Amino acid sequence: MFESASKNEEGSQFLSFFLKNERFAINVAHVKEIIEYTQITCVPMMQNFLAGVTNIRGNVIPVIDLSSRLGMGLSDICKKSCIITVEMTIEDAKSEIGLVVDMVDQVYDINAEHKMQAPEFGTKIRKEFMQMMARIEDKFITILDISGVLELQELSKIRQKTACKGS
Amino acid sequence: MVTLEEEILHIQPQEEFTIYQAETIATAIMPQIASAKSLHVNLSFTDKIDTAGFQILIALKKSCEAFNLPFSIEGIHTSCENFMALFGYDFDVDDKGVA
Amino acid sequence: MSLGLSFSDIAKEFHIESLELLEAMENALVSIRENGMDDETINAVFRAAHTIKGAAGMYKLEYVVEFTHVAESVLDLVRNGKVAMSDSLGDLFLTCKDHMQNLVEFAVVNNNEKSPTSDLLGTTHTLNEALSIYLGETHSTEITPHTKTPREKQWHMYITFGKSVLEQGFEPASFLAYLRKQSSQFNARVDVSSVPVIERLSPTQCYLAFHIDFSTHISKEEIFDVFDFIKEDCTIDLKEIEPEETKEEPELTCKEAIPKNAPAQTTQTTPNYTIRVDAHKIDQLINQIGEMVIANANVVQQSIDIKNSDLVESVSIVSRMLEDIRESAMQIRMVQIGETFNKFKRIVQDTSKKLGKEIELLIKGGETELDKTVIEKITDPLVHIVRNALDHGIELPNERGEKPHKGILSLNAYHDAGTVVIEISDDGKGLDEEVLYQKGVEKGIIEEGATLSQQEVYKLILAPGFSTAKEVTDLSGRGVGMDVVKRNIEALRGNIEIQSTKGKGTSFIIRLPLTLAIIDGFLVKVGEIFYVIPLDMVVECIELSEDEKAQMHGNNYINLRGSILPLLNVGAFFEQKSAQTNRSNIVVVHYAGKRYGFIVDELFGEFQTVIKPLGKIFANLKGISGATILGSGNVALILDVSMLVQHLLSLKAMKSED
Repeated sequence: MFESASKNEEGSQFLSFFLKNERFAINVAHVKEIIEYTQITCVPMMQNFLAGVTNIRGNVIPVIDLSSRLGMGLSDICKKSCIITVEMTIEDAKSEIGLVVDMVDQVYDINAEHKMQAPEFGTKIRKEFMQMMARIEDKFITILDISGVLELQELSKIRQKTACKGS
Repeated sequence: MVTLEEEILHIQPQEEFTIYQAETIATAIMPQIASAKSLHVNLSFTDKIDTAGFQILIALKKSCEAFNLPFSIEGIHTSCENFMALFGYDFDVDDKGVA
Repeated sequence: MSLGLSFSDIAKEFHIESLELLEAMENALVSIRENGMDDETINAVFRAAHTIKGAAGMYKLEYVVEFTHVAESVLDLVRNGKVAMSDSLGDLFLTCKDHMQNLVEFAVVNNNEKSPTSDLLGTTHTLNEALSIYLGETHSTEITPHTKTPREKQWHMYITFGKSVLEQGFEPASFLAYLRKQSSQFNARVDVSSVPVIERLSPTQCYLAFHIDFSTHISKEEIFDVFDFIKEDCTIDLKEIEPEETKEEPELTCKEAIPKNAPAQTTQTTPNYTIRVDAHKIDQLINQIGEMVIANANVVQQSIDIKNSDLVESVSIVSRMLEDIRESAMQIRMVQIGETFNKFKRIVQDTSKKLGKEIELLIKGGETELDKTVIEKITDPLVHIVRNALDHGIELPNERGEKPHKGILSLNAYHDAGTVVIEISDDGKGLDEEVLYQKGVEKGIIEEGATLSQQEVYKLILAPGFSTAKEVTDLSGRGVGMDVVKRNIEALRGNIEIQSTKGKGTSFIIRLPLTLAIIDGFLVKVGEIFYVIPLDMVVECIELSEDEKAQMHGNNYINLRGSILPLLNVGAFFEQKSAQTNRSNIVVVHYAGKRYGFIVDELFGEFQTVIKPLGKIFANLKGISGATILGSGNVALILDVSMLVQHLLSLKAMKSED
């Protein structure tokens, strides 16, 4: 699989953040910027984890409630809530997507030595969302596979008859 | 391609002596020309020349004239000869046909 | 190290240039076929061929040069009156034009790295043979008395090449070689006086100049044409030798020679002065202006809040100017549709000949302007509709009954309420609902017994895998076809309507947005979401009181001044939580000649809007065509009125079935 090759290219720095008091991280190669939580416009008919769209310097970009996307329930927006914008290539076109997280932590160098076998049990999130588990200074970090989390087919699905969330 | 042997600067372009090689060759010549007592261009491996290559030859010849150094060319292929003919220029080994 | 440009760098320029010339050639040939030949048009054909040959020569595309040369020679005979123009020769030239285009496309696609395929060479050979027949008959058909034999003239030229020609990828030797090819005598002497010593040489600069003595039959204009590609940077002195023969030619520099001193044989139409700009740059400009419009909306709001009348006045001046700038920027993208329409002349001529039909093409509204990207995307669908009309719509002359033998196909374009309408109409046999329905059932597109509106039945011909001809013809029944029409038009946020009367004809009416970038919008709010409705479509707003709501009894319409107004509840359509406000408003929109009402909560009035794409994630979302940023920085969603109206109509259709 091409995964290992792309990992090398991406480097070993990971931005960690909190979702519901748990640490997660994504490769900094994908991260474009981190901005304060801002007004998000709900887009009707989309799935619940698709929080909506927001204006970042004149561009309208979609925003995902990451916690909800991982199946951990909608984020509780607080003072420390942030939007991490990531840049992805979707069908040959560069797209920017915002991810709502509860709080940004820090950047870690994560190498093979930190890698842990993903526990057989207890992982709350879907396998295809996870790249690996790492352990640094007794902290456990779930490293997300961003291409799995932001898979276009899944994101673009239209919500089936449910009540619209309040935004 | 460019070597200095016994104070003779030998310049021997490969198959192509065109704008794609011009800069490399010129750069290789510059530092060595000062220590040369004579200049010799061997075109026998070259079967493609263009304006950029041609200009280097002219410039070399002019440098030699300026410092009064002998300048010679050998082995001009037909294709290069045709090129010179189009320009109406003749690099005779004896170097007589200066336009 | 700075290298000369490779073919791939210049390929794009060469490609565009050639396509334009080929298009000019085709237009001229078609016009000859239609209106007969005159000097100007045949010269236009010749010039185009000649320039293509020259350009191809510069880029060493031998196979293009060789083929074009033969065609050019025959053209030369025709324009000198030595060979008579005929329909069959005109057709041959058109085929040659197509072949040149194929050769050029081949060179560009393969980056000039491959030799032409045997297919291409085969065609070259066949066409050359056909052309050579005319080359042979030179003296047999002398028609015009004032035939000019191209007379050889002697010239002396002194040309200094620009310093940057090598870096631009040009090789002076190629120009010389080409000129030599055109000359019976040719003698060049290089002037190397500007070449510095090696220590001061910049190897990629050009230092050369040439004295050239030559004799040629080509005209002065054509001599300058040889150097057309580098005319910006080089100086050319050209003198004719033998002054006793003709009036003395003044010395000319290249720059002024080509446009002005071209012999004014006939009133030469001065080409519009154009600059080719990367479309991306225009998009960027329009985006930036859009940002300014948004920022300015904010300033306007604040100046109103401050209640300083001087400030409001000043700001309104800025707003007006900004509006003008926006208009001008938008104009850059706008192109007349006439050029696209003209392309159909040949299709109509060729196709009708092939089918043995007599068809006249009428073009109206060619000056109607629309966005270039829209035009590009609409051309293919138009070709399919036109072919379909020629093939299936218009009957053979003896089948036309009372109607004139000559069928009429008309193309018409006009602006209507913020949209551009393109109509393609024929006076053919019209669509047969029953046949279409049967066919739809046969092909498994619809189910037996399904109730369809007339419009839906007509639109079956746009469904994939549908063809009404009993046999699949070469022309329009190639499988890829009418379904492209619907898809492309929908991708442009447009729609298509089909009108037909049996025995009288069929019209395809395509409605497209004027532009894809900025619209004037009408801002409304439903629940927590701001929506924008394109202002051009808004007719009026009505308050919907509780009473009226109650009187609706759950119906999807109200009585508006005596006529029925179908209603769409925007909030309900998007499955939003019902708003808590007890007041609702109706925005009345008109679309395709009919009125509809959209129920919303609040009205905010006019608002200028830059359309921002929503991206692929929202590709499946119906009813919203884009987003926009409000003065406050919030995002509003743009309603896709065409889509919503269609939804409304389908609801109505379902109701009427019950």
